[in-house]
Amino acid sequence: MPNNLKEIIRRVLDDDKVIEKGKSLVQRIREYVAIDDPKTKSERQKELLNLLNDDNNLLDSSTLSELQKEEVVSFEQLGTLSINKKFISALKDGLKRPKLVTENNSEGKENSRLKVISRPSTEVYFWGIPSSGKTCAIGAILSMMASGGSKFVKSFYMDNGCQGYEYMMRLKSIFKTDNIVTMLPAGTSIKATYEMGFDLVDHNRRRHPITFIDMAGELIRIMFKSDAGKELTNDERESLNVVDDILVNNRSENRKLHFFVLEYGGEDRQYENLSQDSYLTAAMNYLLTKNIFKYASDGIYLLITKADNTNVNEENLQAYIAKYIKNKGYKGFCDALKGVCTDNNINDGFLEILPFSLGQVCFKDYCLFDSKYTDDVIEKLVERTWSDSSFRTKWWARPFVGVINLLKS
Amino acid sequence: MSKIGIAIRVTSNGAGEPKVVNGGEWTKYISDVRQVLEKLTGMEDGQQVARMLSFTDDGCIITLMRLLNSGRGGDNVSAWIHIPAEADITGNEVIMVINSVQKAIQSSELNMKSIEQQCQVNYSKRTAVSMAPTGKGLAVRYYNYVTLMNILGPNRYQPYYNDYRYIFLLDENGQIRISNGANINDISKQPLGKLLSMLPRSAEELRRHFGDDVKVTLSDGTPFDHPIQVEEDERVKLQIERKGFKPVIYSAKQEESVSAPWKLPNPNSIRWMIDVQRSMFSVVDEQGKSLPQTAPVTIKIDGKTLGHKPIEMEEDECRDVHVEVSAGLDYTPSTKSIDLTKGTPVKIQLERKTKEWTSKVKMSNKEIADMTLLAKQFPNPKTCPLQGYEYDEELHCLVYDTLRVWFHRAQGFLAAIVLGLLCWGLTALYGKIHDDKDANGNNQAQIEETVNNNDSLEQKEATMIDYQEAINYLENNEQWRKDTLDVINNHALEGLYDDLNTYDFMSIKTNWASKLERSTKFQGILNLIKYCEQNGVTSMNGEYSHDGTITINKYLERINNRVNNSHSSRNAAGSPQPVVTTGQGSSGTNSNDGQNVNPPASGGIDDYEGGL
Repeated sequence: MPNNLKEIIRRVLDDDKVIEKGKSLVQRIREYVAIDDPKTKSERQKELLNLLNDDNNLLDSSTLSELQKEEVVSFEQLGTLSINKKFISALKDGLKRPKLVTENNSEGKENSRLKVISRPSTEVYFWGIPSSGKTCAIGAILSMMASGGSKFVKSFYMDNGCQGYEYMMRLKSIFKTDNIVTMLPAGTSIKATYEMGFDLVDHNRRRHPITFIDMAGELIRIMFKSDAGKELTNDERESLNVVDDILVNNRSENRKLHFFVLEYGGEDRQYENLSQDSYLTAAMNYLLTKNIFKYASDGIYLLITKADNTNVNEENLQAYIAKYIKNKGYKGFCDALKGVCTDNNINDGFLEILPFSLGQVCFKDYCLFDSKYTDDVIEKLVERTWSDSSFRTKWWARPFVGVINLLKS
Repeated sequence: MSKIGIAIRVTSNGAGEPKVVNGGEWTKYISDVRQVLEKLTGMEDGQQVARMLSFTDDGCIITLMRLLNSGRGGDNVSAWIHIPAEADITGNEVIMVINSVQKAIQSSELNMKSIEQQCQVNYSKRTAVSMAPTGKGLAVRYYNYVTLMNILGPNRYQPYYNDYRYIFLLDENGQIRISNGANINDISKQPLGKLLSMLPRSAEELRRHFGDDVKVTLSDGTPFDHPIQVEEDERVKLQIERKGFKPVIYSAKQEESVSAPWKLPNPNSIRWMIDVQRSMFSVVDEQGKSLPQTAPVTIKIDGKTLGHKPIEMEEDECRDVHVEVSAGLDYTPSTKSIDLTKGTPVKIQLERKTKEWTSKVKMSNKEIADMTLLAKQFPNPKTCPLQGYEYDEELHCLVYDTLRVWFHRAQGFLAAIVLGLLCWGLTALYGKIHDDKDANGNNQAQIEETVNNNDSLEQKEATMIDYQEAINYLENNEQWRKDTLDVINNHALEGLYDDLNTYDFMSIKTNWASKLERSTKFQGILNLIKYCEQNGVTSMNGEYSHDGTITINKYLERINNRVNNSHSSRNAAGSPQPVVTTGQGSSGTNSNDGQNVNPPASGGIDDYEGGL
């Protein structure tokens, strides 16, 4: 057994045989800290606190709760760390995870399988590995627009006829702009693909009909398996069929935007000995072979999620991200995406890289939402999505509106 | 021998790739259970394990699921235990496997060795049925220990499970419950029927028992070639089909309490029936052709007329059937004994009856004779059947058909005309071909002549082109040199110098005038020669020079002086002045663009030269 806590924790996290990391971590940390000698115990507790101080996301909230119950660490001790006190309070209160689906509607409206995007709108797709933050990003964007917190959105209307209406309704309620700690939502199931239709109205009173499509991160692993000729399970085949249906077989005339979601720091996580960029490349190739970029794609973006982990200030962030992409082996993937933009005349061959963060994330699943990066994405949506002027006041009525506004003011 | 298969899937940071022992087609049914777990409550502590049952075409899968306290909602570990339908495994043994696997997934660290051990056990084979569901619903079955043994025992598969993709198995005293509002059917009270497998009989067994060409189908028409699940004492309707006979419906019952092949009926008790129908008979004439549809065909089977409704007969009766077939007055009826079990359709041939036709006919000796025709089929009975004849009502005998005779004559006449026209046409065509040949010969001559003309034209053209260099020389030089004139243009002007030098006016005119007509200087010489001749000077003696050069102005002046001297010696003053025609404009006293130049009376060379 290693003689420092950092190594103990790393070994547990890296061990494939450990199926319940939290439980195992609690056991190992307790064994390490809770020893009879009070002096050594105090030193080891300090060691744990120092590690938590260095990395607020070293342990998740449920593991910390268990450690607190086991008296390995106390809330008071956690309160001494350079962590926002709101997170400690939330941990004390036992914050509940938001539910995105109800029991009788876990696969979308009336359990309907999504077959076609029939709503005339700009379709926005999010592609990324599991846990890369797709659902959180969508939730943050919806929350910002719905709460009126975005400086680019005047009003926001959800389409109650879309397949993922309830999911969207729940997702848009997760992130609060009033400085309250929220718990991040659970991952999206392999079989779940949600269509979320809404209209946003910008400050020029132009209406932007948009449809977000949230898919499970496993889908891009399935794309890789499919391309590699590996056998798919029934569930995997079914979820791939959904993608083929909406993007190939029943392809709509709608314009499309694609966000490739790259998790900052995700290069450390491997799946079947393949890294994040391998799966993203596989997804890109799958979409290329299906000619998905060829038809009506207006923009491809690389969304670097969890950018708060960079600990770099906003002015230096773009440069830092560029360096990160180059140094961590993502350059090949980025160049390929640029090639796709050029070959398919998307966004004048320009690949835009957008750093993204939900704000402060602590204990892996607690979040104090900050809208700064979210509004950047909303700005892109307003810029790049089709809009009409149905919400604009007719030219002959504008003088009256002006007079009314003047009187109001 | 048969083995169970087990797969473990951990879903944390996405659904992981399952770890499988004894894999197979069943692994396709391994699923992401995050959505399924949403329908259950009481599992949040991460200790509770939910169980559910599902079916494939080759067995059942028992899934054990536990939520993981990994910090990410929905993360779980699931174990998928595949029990092949053919494995003879008791409910108690299944529960033991479940408990063992459950223990493995409840641990925070996965011990695959214990799982592999479970998969090493070989179970003896049995015959049982399992079917993948067609429905996608969810159901729940609450159990206690006793009922769980029955649920997971040999009668695991129940036909009513077909509507459900998953059936939750929840301990009636446990803490896991269905979430409020979840749309899940409670099927706890559905009976667990004892199911037996009714096995099919092999083709060889059927042949030995019933004879050739017998097969057995289920009530839905599908062949009974696979085991079917039946409840104890349940009767299954089978259809025994023998080629050529009506199918026999047989109600089979699984009398034994174990899975066994269906009990065969006594073959003597089966009455094989044939529906004798008109379509089983093919009535043809002597040539083997079907009778015309208008023929009134009647078929009698053992004295009973066969209409559109079939006659049902037993196999023994069909072996010797008395068949009578008639088709009106034109055909001789046929009667024969037929074995209908030997295959159909049965071909029955009917012969036409022989008829006669009698008439008078004139013979070569002009006598009238009676003539009788015998045939099985006459043409239209109202007309004479003999070709080329008709019956003359006045003579009361057969005569040539006049219309036909004239028709034949006309045919011959027309044929002769056509033949004549053809001969004439061929002759004309032959002549035309010859004319064309001659014409082609003339044309050829004309073509050759044209070619020759063209050649001479080209020659002429070449000549003109050849003298151009010489003309250029004459035009561009005031002094003409013999050595140049003799060689220029490939000696084209060879001799000119001598003719000019010796004042040989005749030779100058005849040999050089046409060749050098485009030279204005030479034209000046010609005009002066003409003027000389008009004034009676046709030649001059002596030579112009001995140095091999002629200066053209001086040459003209010398001739001019010679003419003027001769003229002044013969005529009085005021006589006409010489006229020199040049090809170019002139200056001084020239008029009309220099076409006609009057030399000065004094004969001044300067002015004249300007004219050149």
